[in-house]
Amino acid sequence: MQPSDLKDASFSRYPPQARVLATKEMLLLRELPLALAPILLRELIFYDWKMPAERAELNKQFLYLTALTPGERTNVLKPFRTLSLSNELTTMDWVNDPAGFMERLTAWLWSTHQMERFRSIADAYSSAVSAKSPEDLPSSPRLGVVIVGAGTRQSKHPLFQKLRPLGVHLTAVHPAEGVAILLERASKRAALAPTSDSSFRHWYIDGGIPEAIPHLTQISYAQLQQSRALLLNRIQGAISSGGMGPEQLRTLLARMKPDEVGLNSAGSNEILNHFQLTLLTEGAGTQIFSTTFAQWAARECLRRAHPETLVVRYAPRQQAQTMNMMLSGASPAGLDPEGSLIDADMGAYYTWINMRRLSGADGLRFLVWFEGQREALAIGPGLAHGTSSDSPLNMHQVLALLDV
Amino acid sequence: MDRRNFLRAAVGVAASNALCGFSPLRAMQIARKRKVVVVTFGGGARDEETFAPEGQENIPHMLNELIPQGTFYTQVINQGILGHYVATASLATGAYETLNNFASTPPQNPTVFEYFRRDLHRPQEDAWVIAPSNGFNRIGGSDRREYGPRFGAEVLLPKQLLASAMSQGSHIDYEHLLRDNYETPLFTPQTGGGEVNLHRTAEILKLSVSDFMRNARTLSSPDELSVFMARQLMTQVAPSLLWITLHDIDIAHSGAFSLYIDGIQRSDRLCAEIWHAIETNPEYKGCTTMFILPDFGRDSDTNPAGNGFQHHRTGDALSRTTWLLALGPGVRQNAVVDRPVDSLDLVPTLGSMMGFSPNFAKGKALHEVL
Ligand SMILES: [Zn+2]
Repeated sequence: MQPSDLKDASFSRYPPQARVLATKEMLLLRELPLALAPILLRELIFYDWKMPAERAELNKQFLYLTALTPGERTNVLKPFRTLSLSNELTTMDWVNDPAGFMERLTAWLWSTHQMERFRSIADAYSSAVSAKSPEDLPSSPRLGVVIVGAGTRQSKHPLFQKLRPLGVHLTAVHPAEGVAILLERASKRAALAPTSDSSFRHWYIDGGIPEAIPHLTQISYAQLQQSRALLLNRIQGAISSGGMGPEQLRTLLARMKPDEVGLNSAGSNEILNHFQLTLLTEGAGTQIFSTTFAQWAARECLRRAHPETLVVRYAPRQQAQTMNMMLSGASPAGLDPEGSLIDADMGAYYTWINMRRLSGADGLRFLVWFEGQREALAIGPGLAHGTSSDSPLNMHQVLALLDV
Repeated sequence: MDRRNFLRAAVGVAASNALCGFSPLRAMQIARKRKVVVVTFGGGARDEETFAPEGQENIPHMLNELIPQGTFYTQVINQGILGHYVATASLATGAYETLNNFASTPPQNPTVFEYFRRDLHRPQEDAWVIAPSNGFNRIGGSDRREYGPRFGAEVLLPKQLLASAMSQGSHIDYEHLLRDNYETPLFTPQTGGGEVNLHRTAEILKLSVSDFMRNARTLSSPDELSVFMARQLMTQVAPSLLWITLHDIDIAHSGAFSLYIDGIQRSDRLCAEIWHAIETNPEYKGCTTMFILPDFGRDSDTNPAGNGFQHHRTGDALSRTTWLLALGPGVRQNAVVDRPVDSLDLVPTLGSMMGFSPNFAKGKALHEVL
């Protein structure tokens, strides 16, 4: 099947809002080359559970393409038509399994040495889209806070090595009430935000048991314990029943609904529950290591929700056991707080990198703090790079330093 | 500092008092009984965690003991598919394989083991592979006409042996050695025939099942088990061509940076142990060339399509660029080669070194070590 064969009925298995959008954009979808259409559909098929920022991005892409004159559109899309695709790609059900199409397309492009060319075509296309419709600036400068090292008092290695050149290394932070002060400030930012703009803009991700705090979109490793167990159970069952290769497993996971892991599939938490489910079904290691969960959740939150406030707090992960044991949900052999601090330190760096990708990067305020200890690192406008300060500061003063 | 410079700096520091060991005469003398040991890391390591200044603390053995004795290639580019089985198969055939990384299929091109055994009329026990996971069970030989399994290597899957030995007794003590297949951590392929293999291998290695189990208990990771088996093999069989694929580093797919670092440190130590085993074994000492190379790298921190060290999905330059160390008699010591070479160059190099013709291999022999 080619995109030109698409009809309203092609989307009968799509969720309601996605179906409406597909019908609305039908003329455009029919014009797309086969190498591009499933890439858009992979986003569209999940439209009902997308974050507001993701919906805006997809809408912008449609808007960009429809605003072009027919001649311009032909030119923009032409490079995708120069790729040679296999019969299998044409005949598979790419409307209902766009992710499966992508996987096979990737393998096909590699094996036919077209990957480099595909990359440059795709890069040129997405640069053209974003040049025409840049992301809006946040309503206030973004704030990222990463709290690392719970459960340990000393680091074997110097902390924040990768971030130190970018900010001020604070060595005399007064730790009392640190977590509470940081969360309250995040909560206050959310409460003060204009209501039209507040959904999924202010987040708190905890790798352990979360603190109770209002106004923030909140997820945690502890609260997903039942979901993790149900998911691992399901996978074990599928594997032991035999015949389950990686591709079948991916399909099984992609088709899961939140209620299959004990999360509501409908209602007010529908979008958040889908988000949480995908953290567990798409993230490697998020099911077994709380540090991986916290890092990946922060990455996905930044990529998908474009938050203005993000607080990530790490907790000690379980000690490594064999994959088979951890995946079968065996009880932890113990915790590994020292290893977790190393994981979290790298995770903080990745959170900073991902946050820098969002609009308003020059105004970004970023803090990473060794929980309960005196060491922190602050990055923000006006703060000198690669410096350190041993001035005693409480957490309110640290936030003031960041001009938050 | 760019890649070349920091690698050069790393090597320069380590090699300050190493000697130049190149001697053509000696090289000629050893050609006949020459042996080769290849060590690959599945789940490549990035420069940042190895040869870059901030990573050097993770590889003290490579830096201080091995590199000063060898020739070090700073840029080895893998232009193939970045899955461990398919990439290791490509290293072993010298051609970029396109087989399904997760299927139990043989390489499409003849392997180095087939060239070696066919051209040099060597018996099966002269070529061995020690592979990390069941997914590698077909790596010993291709299906190519005129080559194929009858010229293939013996493939040893220590984990499979352990699993079959475990089925005869208690599990608990050995679970830590059975970590498998981090690339799709939710999927463990099964292979049959463990029982038969166990006893045959035990016989070849002159190791009773209970000895094997007793030794396994003292080891802390699957790669330690592989190196233990390699040592046993070197002592009992002394194959001329031994290929060991380590895999602990690939725990990185679980997202835990500290465990990835532990894997690098362990691989570093194990490489030195393998070299030590070569140097203390009369069958190998003085006539063995060892090659160490990761199969490929891992994603860079900054590529938005990836998640840094965790995976190798983006195909970016960092995930394709790695290094190679060659050491042994006739190989220049304390030398650094900066020109970019290809992952496929290994097999033609082994061909020139050992005297076989890898007719279907695509790379070019690394003349600096010949
Ligand atoms: Zn891997």
